[in-house]
Amino acid sequence: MQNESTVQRPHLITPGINFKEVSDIVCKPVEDKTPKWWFIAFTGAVSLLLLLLSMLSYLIWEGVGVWGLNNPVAWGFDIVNFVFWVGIGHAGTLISAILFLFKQKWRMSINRFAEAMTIFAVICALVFPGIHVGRAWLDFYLFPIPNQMAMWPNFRSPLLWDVFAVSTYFSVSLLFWFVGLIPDLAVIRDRAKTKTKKMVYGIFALGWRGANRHWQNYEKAYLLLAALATPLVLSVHSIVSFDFAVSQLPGWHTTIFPPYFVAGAIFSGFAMVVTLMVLARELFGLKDLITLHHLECMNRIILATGTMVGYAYAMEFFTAWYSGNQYEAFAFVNRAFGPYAWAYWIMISCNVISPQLFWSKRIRTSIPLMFIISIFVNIGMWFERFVITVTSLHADFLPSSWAYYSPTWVDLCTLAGSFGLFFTLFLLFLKFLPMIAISEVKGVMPEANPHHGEAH
Amino acid sequence: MSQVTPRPEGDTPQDNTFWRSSGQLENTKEYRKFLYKEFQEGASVLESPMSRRTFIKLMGASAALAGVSGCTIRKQEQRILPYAKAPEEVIPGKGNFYATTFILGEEAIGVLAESFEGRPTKIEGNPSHPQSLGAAKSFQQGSVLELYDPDRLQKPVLHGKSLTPEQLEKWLGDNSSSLENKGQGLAILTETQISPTFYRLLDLLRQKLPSAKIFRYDPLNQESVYTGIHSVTGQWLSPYYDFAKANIVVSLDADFLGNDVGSIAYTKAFSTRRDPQNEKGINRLYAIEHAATVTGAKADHRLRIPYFQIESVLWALSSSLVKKGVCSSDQVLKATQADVALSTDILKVVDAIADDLAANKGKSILIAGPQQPASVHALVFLLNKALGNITNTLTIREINFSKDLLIQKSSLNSIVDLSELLQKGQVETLVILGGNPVYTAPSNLNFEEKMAKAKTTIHLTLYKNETTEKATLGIPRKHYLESWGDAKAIDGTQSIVQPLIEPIYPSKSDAELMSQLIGAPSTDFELVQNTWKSKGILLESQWKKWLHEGIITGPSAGLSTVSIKDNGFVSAFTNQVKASKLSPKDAIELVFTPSYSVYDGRFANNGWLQELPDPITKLTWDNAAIMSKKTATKYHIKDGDLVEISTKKSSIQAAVMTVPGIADNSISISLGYGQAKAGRVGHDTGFNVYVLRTTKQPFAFSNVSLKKLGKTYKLASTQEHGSMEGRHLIRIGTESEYKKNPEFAKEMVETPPLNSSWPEKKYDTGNQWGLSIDLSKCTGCNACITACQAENNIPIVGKKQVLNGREMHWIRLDRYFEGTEEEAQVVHQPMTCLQCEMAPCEQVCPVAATTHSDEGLNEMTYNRCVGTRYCSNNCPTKVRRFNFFDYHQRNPQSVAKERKHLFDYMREPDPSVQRQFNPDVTVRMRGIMEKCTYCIQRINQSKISAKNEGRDVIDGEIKTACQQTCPAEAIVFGNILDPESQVSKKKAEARDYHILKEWNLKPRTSYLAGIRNPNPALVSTASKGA
Repeated sequence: MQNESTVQRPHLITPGINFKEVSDIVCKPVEDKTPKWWFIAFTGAVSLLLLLLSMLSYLIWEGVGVWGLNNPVAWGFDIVNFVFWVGIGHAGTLISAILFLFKQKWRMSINRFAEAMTIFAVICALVFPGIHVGRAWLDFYLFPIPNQMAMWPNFRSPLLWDVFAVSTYFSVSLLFWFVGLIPDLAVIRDRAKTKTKKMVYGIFALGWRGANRHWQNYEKAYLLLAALATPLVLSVHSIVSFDFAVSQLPGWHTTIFPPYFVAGAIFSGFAMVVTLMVLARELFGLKDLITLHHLECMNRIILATGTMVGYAYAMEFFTAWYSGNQYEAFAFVNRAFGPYAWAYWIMISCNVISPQLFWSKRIRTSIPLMFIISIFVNIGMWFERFVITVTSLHADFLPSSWAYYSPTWVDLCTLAGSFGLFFTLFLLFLKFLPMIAISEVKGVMPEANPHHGEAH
Repeated sequence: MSQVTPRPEGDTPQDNTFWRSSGQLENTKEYRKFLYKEFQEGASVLESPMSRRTFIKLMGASAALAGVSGCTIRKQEQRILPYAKAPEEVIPGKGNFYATTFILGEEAIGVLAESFEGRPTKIEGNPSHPQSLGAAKSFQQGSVLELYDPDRLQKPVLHGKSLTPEQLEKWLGDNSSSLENKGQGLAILTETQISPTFYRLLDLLRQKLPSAKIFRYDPLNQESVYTGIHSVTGQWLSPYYDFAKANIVVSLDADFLGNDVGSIAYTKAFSTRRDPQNEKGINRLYAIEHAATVTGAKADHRLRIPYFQIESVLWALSSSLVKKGVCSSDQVLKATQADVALSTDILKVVDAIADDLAANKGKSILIAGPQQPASVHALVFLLNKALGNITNTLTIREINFSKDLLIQKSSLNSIVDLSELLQKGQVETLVILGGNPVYTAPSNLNFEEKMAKAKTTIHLTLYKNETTEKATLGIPRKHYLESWGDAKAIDGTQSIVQPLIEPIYPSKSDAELMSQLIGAPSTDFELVQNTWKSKGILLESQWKKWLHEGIITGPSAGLSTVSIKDNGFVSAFTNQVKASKLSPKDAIELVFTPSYSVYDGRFANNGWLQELPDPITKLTWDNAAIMSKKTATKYHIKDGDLVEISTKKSSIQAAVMTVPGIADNSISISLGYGQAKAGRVGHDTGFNVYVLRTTKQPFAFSNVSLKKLGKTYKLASTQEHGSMEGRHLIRIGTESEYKKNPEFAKEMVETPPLNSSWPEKKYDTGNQWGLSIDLSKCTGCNACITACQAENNIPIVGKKQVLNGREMHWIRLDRYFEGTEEEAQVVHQPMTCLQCEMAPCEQVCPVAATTHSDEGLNEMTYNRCVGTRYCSNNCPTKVRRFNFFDYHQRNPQSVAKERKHLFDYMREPDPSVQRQFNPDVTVRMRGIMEKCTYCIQRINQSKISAKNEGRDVIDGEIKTACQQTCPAEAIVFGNILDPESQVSKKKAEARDYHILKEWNLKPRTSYLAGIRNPNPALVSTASKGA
């Protein structure tokens, strides 16, 4: 084609690296002696995980009252954390599935990483619906299990949709991730030097031999799963948003919520990927495989989704005003200028203002700056959920029941602990699994092109 | 009697009444062997292969053994034994009602106590008692919890050591020297008594022990009313008002809808005149007060006037009436015309009041609060007389038992005399019947020190309080639900106090101790019967009738004329009037008020009452120094700041709460808090202000100093926000607005077409329950809250949890302020589950734990609830209550559970308190959402009996707990499909409106808009204020 000679697409990985080197780079963390920093980080993460477990035990022992919830504000950190983690869990499948279907080849270097993050974030998220209820030991009532009362759960409740949406999303994401892992697990199996390693990786590699037939089936399965996962990416957060949108609380009852939540979720998910990726490529020397180009692409998506989120914030105000409904109008004025204005303005500055800096290419490609901004976005998105959940509840219809909500130490430790769970899983992933999809990266290298090396 | 017995350890083989195996029946050797042998044959011997015979043997043995060994993992079974001889009227699980009388100071309220198999669980008003008329307030409702309070004095204590009843009798016998001495050195201090039996015994005591001295003391009393009237009439008279007849009511610091004596009957009568459809028309209430009371909240015009200027307003009113010629002929009034310096705004209102009074001669009421000085009451009496109200709207009776000198001397003078006597060392034995004088007596008397001068002090008391602590001997006093007695109410109604339960602890009633002092110990039953026999009217048939109806005789007739003493007023009060005008202009006054929760402190250990939000401040678990924002700002004080309030003699610390509509430069603080010995519930609540009270200033100081301490104190209020934010939640109009457009309330909110996008369920058959609440009648008195709490086993949560916003009351009284910060008017709205037909909560519950019944109720299935709290989030009125903790376990009175079960590491309510629980209502565990269901247990009870009798439920047969107790009759419940039902008629009224109608909730609870009747002459002033 004519264009090819004039427009030079940026290299997806640093040129001059061959197939073997790719395998070496990716397998190095799995095969080498574990670095000291990993142990330090792992100790920290496990400590936080233990904190989470003790907080949850305390919670179930003592009752939901150990949190700061009160009568109007019946959902607080529990649901905020849930939505936050589900949101984070969006980037992975989006990168794997949607970008795969759109044939965005730059995704190849980051998809494994992002998918792993998704799985772990969804695990963190799934902790909360189970334990936020008053009687956690009766959680099974939420599932349509045959029982002596011949009773179904209430299918009209968005909370039930949530149970199905998130668990479906989790299982499909897990499957997708695992299918993608199979060829790479086989690579590690083949390179393994100890018998145990060979066996363990061998089991999970499902007897992969790299045969043509295997590749054909693999590609088909991967494509199908991508197609299956794509609507889920959109549906899961839409349904999470229904928890709010379907209720009739001013500040929750908004039709803009599904797209706005999906945009917000992608926004936060990408920010989390950037945060982790910047660290990982530094620590594991993956700069050749995860180039600045990858990071820039993600920053662009952060900019785009951040702008969408900002638009949604503005639109909410417009709708509230345009509706002419005094309760709705009050909810939004109260959000920005009421007792929780501090949370609102943290949200606005982190989510709307900070990503706008990515218009500048210098900032977009500066590792320290993007790291800082991605952290800001993460904070901002947590606060977005806080603002939606708490400020709408704390002052609704009857001023007599208005009350201020503040978290307790248990709330704060549970939030910190959920990061412990996330990082424990993530560090284990970094240690034991290939964090970059070896086969896929190889597939986008110039050498993989059948016409490689041929003259035009 | 139902009885819970522990499972027997093992049956004796001899007992063959019940047998569980033929082995046991025959009492075979094998059986006995098996019974006592730990390891049965073959149980651990596995060498030989088991034969079929051994197998069967083992099977049989283990089956029998299962019964003997008891269960270790499952809950151990408890047996409820049936009556061997069942009393005829007791049906297990069905409540019986018995009439008795609740006594508080001079107040006697006839009540019906509901009893389940011998344990009273709930108090209702007695419809045939004129002081109750079927209604009861929080104090009566809460009294049943007091009965079961495990912190009551359970055993006699001598010098801090418990005695057995026998030891007590022996001690009393050994120490009766004063009795032999004609009562020399014996002094008795009692609370004001209204029992005819007591006065009969008092006479006997005086005959038998002529040297004994009797005193009385009550910190809150009616004495300034009586002395005031006595000064102008020379007689001991008590006024009783008929608010149903009054068109104009002028209240001077009175709280006749709140804490004053007679408030239930007064509220009943007053509220009939708040209905714009009343044939006599709606009445008009002017309230002149320093603090904010429920009476002030109901006023059509409220003037905030410092306590010490209220008298000046009354002067202004009387001189205005004289000027208008209403009282011109009355020389007494002429003599009292003094100059008063009041602002023109106030004088304008006073003038309008005078016009109103002049136009309604004989149809008005002037009433002053018992905390106001005698001079105010004297003048109020004179004005009522001049206005022709006496015998029309006022019934004048002689004070009950006023022939007795004990009543003629005021209680303040009485305790002063007692302390002088004590000081002189003339009291050897002091017997205190009830009360807590060490805590409540005026501080300048140093009663605690003086009491120590008596050789022996005996305190008959319900609780071990400060006085018991200092007394030689404390004797448990019977609760009114445990004792026989009688009472004479302020309107002369005489009624019986009937026990509902055997005394829980070895205790004595006042009468029993009196009879013991006389030397003729007798039971209270005999004492009461003898009283009425001695009056010659006790026949066996009558006694049964009295017990059944709860009353002996109805209200006594009033005096037909009252003569006024010439110049009585002037001679009594001229000096006082001059003195009161001397207080400096910017001085801060301090006023003590009775508490809506603990009254004078006697209910301090009652959790329901402690957690009952004050009607105005919504404060729980504490009292506070209530002042206006302006006063607070002057001293740079904010809400929750601790301040030191000092009089010349002493000082206290208290937390400040600013409330709109309070008179400037006036601090009011309620009595009864800060008790040092109040039991586990009431300890550490609030601030003790009794230490400031003196004999000269029992109710108010005109000049105190205020100092900010720089520390803060957490006050737990159930409502943080006071403004309605321009939302039409409570809709109130004036009478003229109502006449112009009766549907004004409905038209206040414009709604879009209220169509659903799906076919709605039609509730058009059977009973469809609905509730109507009349905001014009509701006074915000809180009675419904406590009634609901008692009926529905609602736990208390404690101050910390109230601070967290987790109170559990199913019905609450939303309070909003209207108008400016200074001239704020309080409005109330009872709020409970509205039972929406299109209930937002039901839609979102994932487990279908809250669903709609065919009768239109929004029901909760507690067993199904997992506690997602989504329903609460989606509830527009936030009336759902979540059990964040197991509050029954967290109650300070809870006890460690008896370990019968592997998981029984928890606590449970004290066994005594458990007996209060309503057996018809589930006790909820933690993690469950709960809320009002229109007392569904009552609905079902009536439906069952209707079905058994083959009829429909009759309108009015089912009363919700809140409705039943409401003194204002503001709540009406019934079938909305029956056009003849009371509730349908209420809902058909033009004033009926739904809150949040635009949300298409289709609530079953609707409100009737409040109607106010401001004076047209003052409307400009009113609109400025309102």
